[in-house]
Amino acid sequence: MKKISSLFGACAAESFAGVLCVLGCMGIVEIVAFVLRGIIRDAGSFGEAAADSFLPFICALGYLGMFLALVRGSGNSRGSRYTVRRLRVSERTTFLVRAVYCILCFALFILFQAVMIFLLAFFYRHGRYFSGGAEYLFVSLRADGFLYSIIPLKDIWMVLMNAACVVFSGTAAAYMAVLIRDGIGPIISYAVPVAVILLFLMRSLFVPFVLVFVLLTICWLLCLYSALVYSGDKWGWDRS
Amino acid sequence: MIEIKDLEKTYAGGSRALDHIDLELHPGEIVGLFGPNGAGKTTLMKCIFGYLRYNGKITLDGDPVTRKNIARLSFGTCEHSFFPGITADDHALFYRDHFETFDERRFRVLMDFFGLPTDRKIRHMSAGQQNQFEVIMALCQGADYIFLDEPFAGNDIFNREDFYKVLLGMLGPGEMLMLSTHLIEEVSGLISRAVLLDKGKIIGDRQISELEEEGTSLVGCIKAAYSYRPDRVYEALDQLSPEGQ
Repeated sequence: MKKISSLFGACAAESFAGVLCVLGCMGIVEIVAFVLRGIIRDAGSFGEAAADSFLPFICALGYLGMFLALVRGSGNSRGSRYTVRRLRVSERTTFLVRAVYCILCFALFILFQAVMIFLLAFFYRHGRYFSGGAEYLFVSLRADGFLYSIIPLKDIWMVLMNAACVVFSGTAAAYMAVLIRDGIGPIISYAVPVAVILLFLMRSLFVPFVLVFVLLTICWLLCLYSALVYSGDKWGWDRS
Repeated sequence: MIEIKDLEKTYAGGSRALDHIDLELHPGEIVGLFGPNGAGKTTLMKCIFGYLRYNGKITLDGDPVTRKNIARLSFGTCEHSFFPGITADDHALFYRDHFETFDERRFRVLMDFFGLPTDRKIRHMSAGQQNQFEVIMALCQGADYIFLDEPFAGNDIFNREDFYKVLLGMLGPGEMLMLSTHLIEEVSGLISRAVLLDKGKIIGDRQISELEEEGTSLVGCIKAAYSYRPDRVYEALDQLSPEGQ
């Protein structure tokens, strides 16, 4: 366990700066977006719904940024792989450690979103109910700032969807990082994690919920299966 | 002993990097691995570690090199094998967790010798310092067989010369060191054996003591092995001169 935790720490150190950078950028962008949203609503030139509509896109952009930061880092630098592969820890375990790290990062991202929504809603409360949604994580405030609800029960499926997407995306990021690190695999190998992230981005925009969920699950299973088979393949990763 | 038999490596696209290599590496040896760029030095080392797939047989004391015994080998490479995002001290912690034979005392001494900061992330060190750190980690892992691929890139002559002396005094009788470098003259006093590679083949394997008995310098031996042509310099200069155009 000590070996696994030290490996986890070393992997995390590779990309945590990138993760913090994404969170910082998201914080700034969302503050600006909320201020703009307030200005638009007060000016009355657009409907409230129109002003709200760009918020999910901002969140989706942050999710994509997080995905790229994790793919680029997560302990997969070209150099450190030489050390990792000299350890008595199997490649499969190494992949799972990285996947867990990526999943935790996405969970951190969602948590950050919830906190941001809560804070911004609190400081930007007007005469009516305020409801801010970062990809279905809901925070509602009443006029007096009283916390009305966080994640209402009626949205429990949406919460589950979020949790599933966090797990799927974390696995996909770890898998893609491995593929890029080793510079191998046909294009189709990259298509699976890319499909996961695209489906995540689309899930609140165009495509029906059930369809996205089913497709995501299929992609995730493919991704996990292929990563586990690949990492447990044999000693030596070079495909040339 | 590491025994390499009939080792072949062909990269995608058909270029043959190693061609029927047979080699034995014994404990206590300091082996210089020489050859021009593209001779197959790095590929040979990577095959020993299993980083590349190959045809042939590589054994460590009779067993194939696998995850079970690979900790007996260490690798310092100019491509670097450290974690850029953590400090030298954290590397020591990491190595202590994963390599039972990690030599903490050697680590501290070498860090002091090179004057490297122990609390700075490796990515914030200079290129020369990173190379020094790479060498330190390879030497301190506690491996029986240490492989260093172009370890002295970016290091000044004073650091290198002093380090050779420290290295000679530091290595135990059971430790084998293989050094791939182009600094032939500098390491000639350090190594006990020279292996010459060219186009994926071993074209020479000489003990330094033999060369000394023959009165041949290492550089002279290598120039002869590679059919070195000093006149190519004059040919090039002639072609570049106004009369040659």
